[in-house]
Amino acid sequence: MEATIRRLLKSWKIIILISMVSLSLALITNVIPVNRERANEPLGIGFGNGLDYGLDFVGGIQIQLRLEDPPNGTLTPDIVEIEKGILERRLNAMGLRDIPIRPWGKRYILIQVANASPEEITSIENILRQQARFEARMDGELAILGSEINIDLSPQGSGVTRTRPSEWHVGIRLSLSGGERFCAIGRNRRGKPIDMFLDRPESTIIAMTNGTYAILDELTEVENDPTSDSYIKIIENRSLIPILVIENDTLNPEKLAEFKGYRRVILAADEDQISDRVRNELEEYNLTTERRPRNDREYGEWILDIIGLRSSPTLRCDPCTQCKYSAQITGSAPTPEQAREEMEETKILLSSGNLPAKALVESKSEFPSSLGEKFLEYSFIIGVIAIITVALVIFLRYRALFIVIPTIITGLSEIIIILGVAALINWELDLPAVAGIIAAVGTGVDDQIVITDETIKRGREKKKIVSLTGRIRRAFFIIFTAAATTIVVMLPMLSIQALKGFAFMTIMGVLIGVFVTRPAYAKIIEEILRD
Amino acid sequence: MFDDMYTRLIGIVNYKVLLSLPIVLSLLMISLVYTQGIPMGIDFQGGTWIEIVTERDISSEEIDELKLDLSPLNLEDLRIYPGRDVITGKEKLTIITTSRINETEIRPILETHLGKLNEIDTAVVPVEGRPPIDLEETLSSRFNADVKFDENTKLLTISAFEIDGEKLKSTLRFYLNQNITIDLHKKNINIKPVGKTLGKTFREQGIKAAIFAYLLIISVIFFAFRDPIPSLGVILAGTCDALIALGGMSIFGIVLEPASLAALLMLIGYSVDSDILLTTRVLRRRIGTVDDRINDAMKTGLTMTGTTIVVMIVIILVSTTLFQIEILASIASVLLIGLLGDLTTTWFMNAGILKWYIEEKGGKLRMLRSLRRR
Repeated sequence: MEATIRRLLKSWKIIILISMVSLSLALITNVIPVNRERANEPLGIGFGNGLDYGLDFVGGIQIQLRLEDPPNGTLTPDIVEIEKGILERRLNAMGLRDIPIRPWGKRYILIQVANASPEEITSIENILRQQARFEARMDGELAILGSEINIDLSPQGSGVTRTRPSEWHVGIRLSLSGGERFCAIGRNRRGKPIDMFLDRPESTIIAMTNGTYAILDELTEVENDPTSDSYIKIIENRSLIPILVIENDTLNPEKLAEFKGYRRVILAADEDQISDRVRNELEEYNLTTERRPRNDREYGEWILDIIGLRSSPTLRCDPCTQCKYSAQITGSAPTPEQAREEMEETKILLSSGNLPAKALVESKSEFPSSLGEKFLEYSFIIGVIAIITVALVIFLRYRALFIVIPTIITGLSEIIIILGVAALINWELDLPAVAGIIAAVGTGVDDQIVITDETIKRGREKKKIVSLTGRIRRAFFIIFTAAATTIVVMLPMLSIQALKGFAFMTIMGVLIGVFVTRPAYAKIIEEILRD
Repeated sequence: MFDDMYTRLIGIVNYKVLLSLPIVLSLLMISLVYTQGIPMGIDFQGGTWIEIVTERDISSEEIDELKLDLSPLNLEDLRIYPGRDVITGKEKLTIITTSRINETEIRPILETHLGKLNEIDTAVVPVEGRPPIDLEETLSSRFNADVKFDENTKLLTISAFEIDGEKLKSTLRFYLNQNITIDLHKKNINIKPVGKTLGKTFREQGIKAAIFAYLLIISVIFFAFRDPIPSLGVILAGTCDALIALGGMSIFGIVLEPASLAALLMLIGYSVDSDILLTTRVLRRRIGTVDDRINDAMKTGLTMTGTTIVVMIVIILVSTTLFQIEILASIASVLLIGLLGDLTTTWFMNAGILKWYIEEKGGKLRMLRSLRRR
């Protein structure tokens, strides 16, 4: 017995198993810190602390989005369905798992996200809220439209520089008609800026005081360079948004009458500059108003935010030959990390399409786990009961403890290693993921029975014909074929958001089983039989 | 245990009759699913979603009582849970069901537990003197509101689906030129039909994924055995297992939801295991008759499936009696039904197909030839 164990400990199959189990335990218990905090509380060492739990286990945040009527017409169930699809694509692209999105009533959408930090929730809200209507203009003329571009999603298609401030770029490909227009508009504008807008306000007027107007007329796009455009020019000429100047906090009806066909007014002022009285007067003219005060931001940053101008790179290539069908969207941020975030956000927004109706976050509420607090604890107990049952059945079948014990040990090791990998890659455990683990471990027990039957029973009957290793090899033909089949069934399921967790866990469990735990089990049986 | 099972089995029933049993069973199950349907969970069919602002903590006992009082309405798949609004900090209660709710029916029941429920925002404003006549029109166009003025109490009542308190205040101050205090009662109940999360896109993706999965299985099995018939057997067995499980869900009223869908997919893994064991033992072994090899495989296979079946029964018993975790019980039930089906599809059908193929179609000869070539 002792000799067997000593021999086993020298086998690399067993060494791999033991080291992977210990590493996984360290990950699951957060000894190797993979999770620093949970629900804003610092997280120390403890069983399960290294794991991330999904919606089903820990509850989360429910975001209620209210959809506004689209610019031309009213909200229909079809538009809500399109909206839902786009939001789904956006959240998928963020790499978040299992986020149910459901239309609620005629103009609401409910979204549930597993417990996340406030920063994560904010970034999700940002992604959800953006309408993502992209357009590139030169001197105010439309050069490229969002529907005419495809984002280059390859790794070399986008990138950030390591400088501070950091520049980012995302490659885009233009459609035929897009390329034609880009050529027509850009032909004689080499060296001029291409203004890239995301959600440029449409049929909107910006109202500001004469003081603000004067400051913006002085400030230029490139600081201290009088040849570059002033912000007023950027707003009026390059963004085609008219400005309504309000003097002495009184509305001049004659001036307002000049603007026809506009429906919205952005008040680029706080209450002291343009009062609510004026705002109400504007509403009288059937204009919806929105206040966007500067607060303590720089003037330039504030204005660019209001008009939705993301960046204005200079046109350096020939839009009729060199860069007719490929271009770049660029931007910059203070740090490379922020630049990367902005770049990813741009990619997600532009590749998912623009929302037909504007979405506003109406409310956010916490909701408890659907399965109750005790679920994890109970599942654990049920898991132990299941293992005891397997042991009992195996014992009744083979009447030999030396088979029961290795079966249990390898089964448990498999669960631990799968959970360890989940902890390492921060995979969110939800109910389908747990089902995937059970599926993998369950088929694992199947395989161990195959190995056992192939070696022991046949070994006794036909020892002379086939060697022990030959028999194990034969068992592994069955195991590999079954594993390959299960994996190829799960591969297409990875493309379906709702089944991703399940499919991924099953594939991972099967791979760990085939390459780590099953060989170890076979080795144990082989060594025991040798005695 | 389990010795010579197949020989004994085909001694009682002709193997070709045995072979057709699972197919007949699956066809029966299809018609059952088609006529009876499977109860769908909220993710697949939508339903009604109610949110109530309760202003106070609702205990789980109160939720249980509410559930009991709601039982005469026969709400399918009813779920009630508390929550908290992150922005206002107010307590909330969410009620979800796959049934369509008749509002007038549920309202009194909810109100006995949770107090008065309003579906619209109402603002009550004391004003000096009679407001100008066009105010009513202005307010109703800007806030989409109903406006009433009571001469005696001098109270202006504005009710609308959505009232922004600040905006109303500034508007009234503008029109009435006086200090305004608003007593705003926000709506505290929101009953709306909710859509499915797994709708059209999911179905389309699912069908595409299933087609791919079928093609991939066929190629893997063909690659392993260099023979088209085993692929057919494995595919047929897997499909029948899923159909039998679906039929079982229809019979026992197990709700189709993400968890039970995962269980249906888990079945594939188990189904593939026993079928490949059988195919390998029958096609790749050259000792004994076909029946002997099937007997041999059956002994191992029954141990495999038997172990899982026993585990599932234990899980169902424990989770329904001890812990009341419905979701585990429903996963285990789907698997149990599917595995019982798998016993017939593997050992009645697939074993029969292989036997027929080798003994009557000369598959064995081809097999031997291909082995010799290697």
